[in-house]
Amino acid sequence: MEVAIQTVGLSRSFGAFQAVNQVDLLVEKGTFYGFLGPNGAGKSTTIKMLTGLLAPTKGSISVLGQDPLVPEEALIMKSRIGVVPEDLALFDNLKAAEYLTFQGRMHSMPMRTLRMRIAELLALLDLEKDAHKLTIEYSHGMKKKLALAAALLPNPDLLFLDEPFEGVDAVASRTIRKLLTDFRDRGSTIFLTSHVLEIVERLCTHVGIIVDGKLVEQTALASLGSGGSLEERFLEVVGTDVAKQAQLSWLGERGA
Amino acid sequence: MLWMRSRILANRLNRSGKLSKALLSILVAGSFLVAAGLFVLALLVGLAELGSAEPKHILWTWIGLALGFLFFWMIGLMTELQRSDGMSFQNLLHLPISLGWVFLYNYVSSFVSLSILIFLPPMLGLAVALILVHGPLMLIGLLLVLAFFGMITALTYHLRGWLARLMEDKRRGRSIVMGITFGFILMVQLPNLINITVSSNSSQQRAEGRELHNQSLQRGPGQAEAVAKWEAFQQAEATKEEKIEEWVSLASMILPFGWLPFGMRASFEGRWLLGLLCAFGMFCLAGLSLRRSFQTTLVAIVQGGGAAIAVKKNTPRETAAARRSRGKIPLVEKKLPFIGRQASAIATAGLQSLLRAPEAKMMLLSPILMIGLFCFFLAKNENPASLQTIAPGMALGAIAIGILSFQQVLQNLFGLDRDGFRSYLLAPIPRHLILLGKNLALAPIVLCSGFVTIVVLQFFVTMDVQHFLGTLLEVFSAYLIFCMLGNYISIISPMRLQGVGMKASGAKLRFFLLQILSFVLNPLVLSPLLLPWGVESLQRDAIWVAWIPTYLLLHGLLLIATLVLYRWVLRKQGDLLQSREQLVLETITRG
Repeated sequence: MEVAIQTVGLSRSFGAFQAVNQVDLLVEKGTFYGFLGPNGAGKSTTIKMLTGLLAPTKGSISVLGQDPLVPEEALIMKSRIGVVPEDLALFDNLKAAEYLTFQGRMHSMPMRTLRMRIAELLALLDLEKDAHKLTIEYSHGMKKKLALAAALLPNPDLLFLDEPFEGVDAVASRTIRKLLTDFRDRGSTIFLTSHVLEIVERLCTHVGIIVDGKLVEQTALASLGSGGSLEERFLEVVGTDVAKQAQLSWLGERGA
Repeated sequence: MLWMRSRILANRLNRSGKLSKALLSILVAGSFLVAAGLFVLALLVGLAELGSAEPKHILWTWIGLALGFLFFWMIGLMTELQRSDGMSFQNLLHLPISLGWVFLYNYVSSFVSLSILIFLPPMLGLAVALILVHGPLMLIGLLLVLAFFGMITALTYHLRGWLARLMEDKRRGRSIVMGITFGFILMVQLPNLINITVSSNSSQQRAEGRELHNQSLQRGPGQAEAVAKWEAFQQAEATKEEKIEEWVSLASMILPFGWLPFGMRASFEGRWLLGLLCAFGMFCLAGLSLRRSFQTTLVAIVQGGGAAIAVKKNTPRETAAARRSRGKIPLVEKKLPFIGRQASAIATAGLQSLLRAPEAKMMLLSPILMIGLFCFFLAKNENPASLQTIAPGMALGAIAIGILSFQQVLQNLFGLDRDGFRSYLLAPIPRHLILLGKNLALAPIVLCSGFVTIVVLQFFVTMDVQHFLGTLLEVFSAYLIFCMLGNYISIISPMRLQGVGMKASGAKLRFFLLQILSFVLNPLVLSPLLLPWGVESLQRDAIWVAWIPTYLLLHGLLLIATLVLYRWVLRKQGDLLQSREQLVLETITRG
């Protein structure tokens, strides 16, 4: 078994608040890993630590065999990964093609290859007609698509995607799903967070569920349980009583 | 709503850290003390001087105060061009509340500014002194002061709202920012130009007057004629003064901005109805402005902001591929000689961003105006030969001022990147190369401005070849020195910049203070560049070595030394950036 991501006792606190607590992740190469959790559970914090955007308070990380906390190893790791971060990483005053050119050059890609891939990506993600616009003028969905294009551009071995479908229209969402499936099929690894459980269920091979900073479930999707949907399992693990939440004492009354 | 606003302020303050809280408290207390001090000072001066004042003194005093306030107020407008409402209408529109109060709250919040703090208390102090000295009729003066501030703040609020609406269309917003900023920068430089022109003219007249006066005192056959000339000169001067006063008085009567001094003088002269009319006029303008502003704000929100007024032209644009086929390589694809691919990418993308960012364009305009001002100053000088000996010093001064005008970017390298800074951190690139790329991105603009300054200086004060070339080398050295300092400040006190404009937001107070401190101390770091000039001055006494081009040689050596130092420092700063990059990211991307 080849490991793409492994963390041991990964923790991160902000003052007294423990955002991520003793997380032991294990993601094999070639898997499509869905990282789930309710709002504020610690998903984005974990991705930030895995990609070197945030230092952990405790614990160790290994991404593609490299430690992102060691500068030299972090450089090797970053040359092999693609990231769509939660808050994106776009420059306001560059156009789509310019931003992608910048990204490609940062990965030392030859200009000829870069131009070809940029043209293909812009066409595939339906960004061609808005190529003359600056990214500051893009809608949130368009920005997400551009960030995804930037992540895919260097053809990485591992993709980190933080809510890649958020704000993306149905057509583009379908294109992206197909793209990611093809990406996984050729042996690359994808680590994805999403609130849309249906998408995770449809795409992922493995899931991890984080609640209040703790990894409470980590398994192959197929072995989640016979008959039960991911949503049911998720709600069970998260511990939310839907029926109880839906009850409001004053709901039967009218007026203020 | 007020409770909500107070909670927001309290929460923000609690998050800012103990030191920032303490500094802010000191700042607020200090502001109140300054305001009170200025009020008392103006009151005392008024009590001492206004008893013997003539109407024209009242006019000029209030014109001075009004113009001073307007000048500072406009500078404030430049730093915050768009209206940023304390309470967002968008967040409250769905609630069953009157938005009039929200609007009023936002308008009153716009009063919190340094210009009002500095000018309102002394104006009130002086107005109270006028009441005490000239009786209760001068209560109109208080009314005039309040009406003036009401009018200016209301008009400004209206203007800011209008601009904010226009800027919903981001491309058009850029042009507006550019145009208005250019106007403001010109206005900011206006006192300098007036000072240079007026002081030059008046010194000529004073010299002429002294000459005529001296001739009139000399006894002899021509004394009577000289006395007559002296009297005619005095008469002409008095007539000129009267004419100026007439024009100023007329302008004050016509322009609403002049109604404060005009009304003050009228009230002082006992024409209280005219004074009241001025106050009434200003209140009316304020009211109309606010009413219009409120209406347009509501319309803008309901119609979906600037979308209603945005008219986009779908003109066909040339694609990058088409440009390439014509042999024109896009800037972001260019590779810099002797520089690695990654640093080149950062440099070219950075330069492209800078050339497009309206906030950066605003900043780029100031060196152009600075050069214009420099030309004006040199052209006014009647004795260029006198400047030749101090030309190297002038050159260094001009270079320093030129580079300092880019300081907002040089000392906050990542501020304009905003979320884009994350790209650097996710990229497989050593951190010192990020700094190198950022320094190279600014180099063409800063160095060009430096070279143009030197060429301008050369045009007016012809330096010999040695000094001209040496000074050109000096531009490189000065830029490298500022880069080293700027990199350091950018890493240890990063600041987030707001959407439009170079105004930093949300940064910790100590970061602000550090930036200001470095701004003040910056010229000192250039002092080593004075060395060649100093050594050359000493060399003049030693005839046996006078033939050596010391100035040029030493500047060459200094440039090499600075390059070596820069290379060494860059690595260290790269490590520093590595250790603080998460803090920088957190600061500049904080919403």
